[in-house]
Amino acid sequence: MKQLELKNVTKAYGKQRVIPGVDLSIEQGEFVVFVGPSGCGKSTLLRMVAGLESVTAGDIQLNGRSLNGVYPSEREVAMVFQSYALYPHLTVEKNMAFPLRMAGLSKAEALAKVHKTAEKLQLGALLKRLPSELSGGQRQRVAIGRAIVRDPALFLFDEPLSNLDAKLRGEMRLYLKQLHQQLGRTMIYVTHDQVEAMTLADRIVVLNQGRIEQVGAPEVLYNQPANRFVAGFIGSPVMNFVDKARFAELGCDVALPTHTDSFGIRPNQIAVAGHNPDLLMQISVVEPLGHARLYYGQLSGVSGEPCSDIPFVVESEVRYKAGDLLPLSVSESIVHCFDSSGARIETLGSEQEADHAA
Amino acid sequence: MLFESRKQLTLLLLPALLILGALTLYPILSVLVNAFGSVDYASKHYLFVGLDNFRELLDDFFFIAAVKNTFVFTVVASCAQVLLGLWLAVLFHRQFPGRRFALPIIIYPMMLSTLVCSSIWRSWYHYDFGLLNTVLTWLGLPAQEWLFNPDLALYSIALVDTWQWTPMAFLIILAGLQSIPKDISEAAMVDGARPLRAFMHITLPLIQKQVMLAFLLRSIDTFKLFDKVYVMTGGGPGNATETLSMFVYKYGFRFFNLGMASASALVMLLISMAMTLLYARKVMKGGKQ
Amino acid sequence: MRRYLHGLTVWMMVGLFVLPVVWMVATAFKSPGEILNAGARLWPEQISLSAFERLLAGEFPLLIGNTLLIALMATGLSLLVSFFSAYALVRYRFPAKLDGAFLLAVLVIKMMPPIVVATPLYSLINQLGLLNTKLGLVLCYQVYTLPFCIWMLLGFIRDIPLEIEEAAAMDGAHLFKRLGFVVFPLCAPGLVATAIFSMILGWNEFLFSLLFIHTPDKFTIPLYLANFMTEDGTAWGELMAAGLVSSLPMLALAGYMQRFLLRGFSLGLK
Repeated sequence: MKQLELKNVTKAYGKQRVIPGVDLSIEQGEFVVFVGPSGCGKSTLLRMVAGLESVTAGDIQLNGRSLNGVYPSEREVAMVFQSYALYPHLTVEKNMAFPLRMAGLSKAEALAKVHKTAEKLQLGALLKRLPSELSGGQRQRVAIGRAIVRDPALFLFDEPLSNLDAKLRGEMRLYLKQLHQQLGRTMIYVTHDQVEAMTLADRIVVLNQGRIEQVGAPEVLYNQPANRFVAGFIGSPVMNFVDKARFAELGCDVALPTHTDSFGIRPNQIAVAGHNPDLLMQISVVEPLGHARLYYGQLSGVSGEPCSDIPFVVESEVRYKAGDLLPLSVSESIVHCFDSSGARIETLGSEQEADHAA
Repeated sequence: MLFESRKQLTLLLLPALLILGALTLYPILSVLVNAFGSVDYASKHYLFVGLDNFRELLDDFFFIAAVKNTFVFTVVASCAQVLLGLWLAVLFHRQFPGRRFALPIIIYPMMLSTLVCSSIWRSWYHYDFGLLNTVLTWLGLPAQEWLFNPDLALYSIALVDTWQWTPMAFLIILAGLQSIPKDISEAAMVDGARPLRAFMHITLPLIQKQVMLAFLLRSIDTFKLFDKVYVMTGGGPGNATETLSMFVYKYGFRFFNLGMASASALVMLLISMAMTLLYARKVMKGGKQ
Repeated sequence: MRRYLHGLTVWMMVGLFVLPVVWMVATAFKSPGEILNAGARLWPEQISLSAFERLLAGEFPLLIGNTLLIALMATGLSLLVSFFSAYALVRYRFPAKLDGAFLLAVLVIKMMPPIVVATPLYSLINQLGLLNTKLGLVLCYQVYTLPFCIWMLLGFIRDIPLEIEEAAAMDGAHLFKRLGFVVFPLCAPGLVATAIFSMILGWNEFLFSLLFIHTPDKFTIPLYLANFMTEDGTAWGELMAAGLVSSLPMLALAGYMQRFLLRGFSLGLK
């Protein structure tokens, strides 16, 4: 069932159109992540859903009701902010009770609800503390608790983990995922971190300059990026891109569709060849990762031509050292082809893989 | 913030607009009108006279004296306060025993009301029994007519103002010194800069903004000079301590010459505005607050 | 060695700056005879409370109450009005940079010599029938206190993160609830500091009380001091006792206010 629908949602500051018109629908119970580089409009889009930014044109509908002009608190939407935005002068208990009290609940009713939620989220021990007496992770959980206590139809998260250190971020990711499974509520989550997006989302919305580049499940985005932007944004280490024309000079015979302008290969999918390599790479820098090594270098052909200046990265468990020539074998199934506008060209190999993924 | 209507937020501003409009904007406009007119105090009859009031001001010996005195006082007092404040700030910037207690004590003078300051110093300046003359006599120096010598009176008042307000210049400049990142002064030390050179070439340029702000603020403030003159000398001896504020006061409230009072008040307002705008530009530049 | 020299220099300067204050305290406790005869002796030979006794027997206590009431009322009015307007100015972009223009106007008023508006203000207060009344002074003091409070509170309200207010809006707090339950408690320390400074402005004000108050029983403390000085040239004991009593609150608060002073400075105190 469709729960949230964005219809041609547009945002402009003066003459500058930040979001030129977005259409999107989100199903009941979905965990959707908006991801994109900073300034892509993902936060603005979220804040428009929350009612913190006005909608210049278009319509946002929640459960069939238009939200235009509706005060933020009357939208059945709760939000968790990047800075948590806990009220510093109120204890955890009162922070969580605040939305209930504002909604007109009596003190006793509000506290009863808060205590029940706190129990569920294991915040019971913190109830009497002030936000300044909590750790970052605890504050985050209280902020989530304050959102849950209102029992909203839709949860919004605006980069909620970016103020935490790497280890805690991993834990909180897991926590959020469990929470989503437990509550079964629709959640929209904004992040610039593609790892967070991949791990959390049912569906990812990739935004760039206010436009949606692609919407899809994490695996689909990874295996069948709709264009060069998505291909480059999703996945780590970042995909290698090679111009077809430049590549032809290397004298390597990989069959590519006719309209191909450039193609991409993920560093962790290309194989280091035992014999009969298709390509060589002159290694300039080696980065050990522990489980594997990252090799940075330039491609060169197999028939002894001078090294090209096409940069390339390979992730492999095979051990080479800087200055070595790394033999590579390219199979068609790992090559993502793009036309001159950057859009994806379907190849036989990629279709097979899509079938496999589905 | 968009979730409240423009009307609601404008409503919040309304009381302030009303009060400031009635109590300052209206008076300022009325000064503006009266400056170009001649008003009969009793009948309130208004006659437009153009620039006559200003011409009269320029011919007025007392006005010229007031401008000169105000200018001298503003420059002398502000410079003294900023220089002394700068020196104190440098002294306080380094740790010394009891620094924690010294800081609140040294700002005592500016916590006192001008009237209290004036009463203390008026007693000190007393010719027969004042502390200053007692000390001078004890040192074998001639006693001074601090407030009754026309050549000295204005500087005696400047001394009181300097005593009262140097702490303010000091605090502003000290804040500037404390905002210099430690590694910059450490880098200077590592680079082998001698203390005086380091101060002139590194520290001083970095607190230039604060020094300028302190100077402007003190100038704006000393320019208002009224209370001290009113209670210490009354503008005398002769007109040696006559200031612009005193001039406006006398024409407005003793001679009941509204035209002249307004014209001179307008001159004051324009000078003060010019200094304020300069100050605002300095504050805004380089990150507001 | 150089360290001690440095410490000694600073403390000598501190001593120089505090000497007049010490002299005020000492003189307040001297007997009338000792004041003029003691020469340069600083400390009283015998603590005498006669100056205070004479002070308390007169109208001084009444005037303290007067001044306090006026300062309180002026501060209350300014604080209330400036809280709302400072909030609107911080949180809302008025069209055509009107907010900036308004703030600049407020700054100009704050910095302007008060004598500039004295004559029109006099006729205004006169027309309202408020000459020689407390209410008249309370209104006139807005010329000082309101611009000051607006500029002070501006900084404190700016320090409240917008996200907290957004969270409150999402939690159902509309404008006035938000002002009451979130903004007000969060800038309470700033409000206290601003109130104290504004009280001091009112407590120390001289020009307007000189112009608008005519009968001695309605004098404010500064006016009382001025009158005392010009009428009774060498009754220093009482004068200093009055000065001391009226300065005690400020001297006691100096340590507390010092950190806010620095804050007021970037905007210009006084």
